[in-house]
Amino acid sequence: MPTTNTFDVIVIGSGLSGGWAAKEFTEKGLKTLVLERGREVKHLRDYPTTNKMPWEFPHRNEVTQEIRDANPIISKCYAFKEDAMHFFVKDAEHPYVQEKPFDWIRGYQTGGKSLMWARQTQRWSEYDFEGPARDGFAVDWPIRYKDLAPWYSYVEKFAGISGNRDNLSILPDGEFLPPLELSCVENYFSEVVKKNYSDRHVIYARCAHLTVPQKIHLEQGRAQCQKRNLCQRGCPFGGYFSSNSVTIPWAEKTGNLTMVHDAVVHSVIYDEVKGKAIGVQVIDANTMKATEYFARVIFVNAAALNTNLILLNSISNRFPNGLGNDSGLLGKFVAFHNYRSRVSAKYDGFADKTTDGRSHTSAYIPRFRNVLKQETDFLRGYAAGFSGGRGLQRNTDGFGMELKNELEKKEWGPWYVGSHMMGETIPKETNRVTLDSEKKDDWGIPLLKIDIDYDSNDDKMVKDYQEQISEMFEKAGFYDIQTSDSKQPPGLDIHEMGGVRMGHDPKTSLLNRWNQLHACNNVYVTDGACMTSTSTQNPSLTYMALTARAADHAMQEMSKGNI
Amino acid sequence: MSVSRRHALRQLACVSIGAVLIPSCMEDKSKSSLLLKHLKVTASDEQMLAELCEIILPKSGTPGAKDIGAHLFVLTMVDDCSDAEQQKNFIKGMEDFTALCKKTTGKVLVDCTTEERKKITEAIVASGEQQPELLQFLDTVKRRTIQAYTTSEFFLTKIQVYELVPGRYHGCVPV
Repeated sequence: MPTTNTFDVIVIGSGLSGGWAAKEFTEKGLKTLVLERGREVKHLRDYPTTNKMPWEFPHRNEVTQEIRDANPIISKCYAFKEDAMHFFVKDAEHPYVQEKPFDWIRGYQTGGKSLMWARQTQRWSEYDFEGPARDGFAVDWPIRYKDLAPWYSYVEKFAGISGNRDNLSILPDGEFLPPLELSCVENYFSEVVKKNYSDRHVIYARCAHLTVPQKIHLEQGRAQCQKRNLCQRGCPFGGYFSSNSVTIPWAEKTGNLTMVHDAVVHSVIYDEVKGKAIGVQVIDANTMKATEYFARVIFVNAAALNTNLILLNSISNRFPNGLGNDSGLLGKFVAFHNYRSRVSAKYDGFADKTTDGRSHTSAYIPRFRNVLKQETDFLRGYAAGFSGGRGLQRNTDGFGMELKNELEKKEWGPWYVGSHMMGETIPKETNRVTLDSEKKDDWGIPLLKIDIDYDSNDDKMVKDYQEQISEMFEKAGFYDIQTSDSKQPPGLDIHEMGGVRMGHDPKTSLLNRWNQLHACNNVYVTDGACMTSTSTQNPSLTYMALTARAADHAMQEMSKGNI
Repeated sequence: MSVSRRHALRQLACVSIGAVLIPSCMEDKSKSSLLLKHLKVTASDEQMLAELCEIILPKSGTPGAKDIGAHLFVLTMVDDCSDAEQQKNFIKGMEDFTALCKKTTGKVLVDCTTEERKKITEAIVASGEQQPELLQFLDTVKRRTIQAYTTSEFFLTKIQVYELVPGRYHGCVPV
């Protein structure tokens, strides 16, 4: 337990954005308290499966029926396997109310989901920030690409982002470490697409891996990525970016960080006389003991929906409907990414070639729909992942020596190619989260009610994605093209955003251009909750940049005595 | 996690010592050597399964199914990673298999000659859709046996070497 309850800054959450806030403040000498609702997961020490061989997993990485039955929601997550399931919240541990089906994927521990994330880091472009204003949905973003560009550079250099300079206005280049190679088929497909479409590109997907560590990364105690592609177990090399391996230990080294685990935040405390937030009320997850912590500035980085929950539960006379909620829009206009569809196929070329080692990323197709102008019967568009690889071919029809010889021989099968969509969804007032008026969790906090769904824009986009990718596959001579629509509920994309959106006008948004609550300016929100729209890119890099920018602003305002 | 750790230890004990340990694992003729949660399997069922797995992947210059404890892996996976319906069908299929074995040869599988074992496999293929549980049983045993072999320490260190730390990625190299 800390020796004092008063700090310069309190950061709620130690995940990807909270870790960045902690790093920024402590580095500049501010006494910072990070509250983490989960257990401690210490880099290197707490990665129990990281060096296990495949045969050391009793169920060869499958999840047992008993665990699947007890956890129908989290079992759907692609990374919830025997090697990493200890990093995910089990269904019963923190229930919520599904007004409509929503798969809420959570990681309650040091580092939150930054430990198991997919590490894709594409910048937003001007087209993304201008989207809502141009197409007339949500509200105008109060910032543009130029506001965030220097902060993208700032976080990229520190985190270590591997990428290729592609010179595309739809996906601006950043401060890149060298890329890995694409596979033969990925390169071939890139060439085919370039030849057939002037506005479509297949590029190396930028990712948070140290392909060639720089001085700053060695100072962080990290080493080169070893292409294990077992990242979800936690990396003994610190090869990818996580709060655990980068920002939290960095903040600890300053001597200015206090971290409290098992600290469930009940609410932000608002002082009616001072007219600002003065601290946070916390309940110990194990002992149920309530504690209050105080600070001049509070950063809420609890992960998008939990940030909504905390603010909705922060009730005062001034804010009877949740902190900063003068507009009545808190919890509304939540959006996400549409990951429903996939297209797969085979390719017979490059019969004499294969890949060697393991890649931690693949190829990426930036959004090409409705970029310069509206051109389809749906709003916005989608990006797509693309990968191509091959494995050994085995005929398992036989028995005995025939079968055994088949398993032991080395005969390559065709190349398999696959793509998944990452569609922008349009934020709507009806897609929202609220607090249940009766049901409470184990800590006496109201359960979150989630009421979020797709609409016809998403269905049209799925259809277009399938048509366009299939057409591109055909042009490349891929065969056996299969399209699928999983109809998976929202949430499984793990890209939920919004509810505390940024905007110019306090009447139609919660946060200003610096991520401060319009109505309570010493409270900042810089995780997914702040997003005005979703665009198509994996959002984490943007949260990092927004957080570093907001922390810088908060420190300037503190030194000016404004907050 | 204590349950899976127990499993891991149990499996490690049986798998790593392999064939040497199996006879002593089955001293009790009435019960399986594994502590199964759902499946009711006797020692003779287990012995039969070991023989069946060995028919699927026999010992040769490389270890056979019995050497790597494939039958124990099959039982563990059906017990832990299948639902109640699949488990019911597995047991029914196993009973059907034992019955078929008796009918075809008048013996239990363990006592069958190589020629008789071959005859049984053929009889199953010939039995077709009349015994869906039997086919499903055989399919499960085969699939899990293949998995046991191709993910075994032997296979991943001697046949198709698994690298925990590749340290490299090349996108296009000669096969």
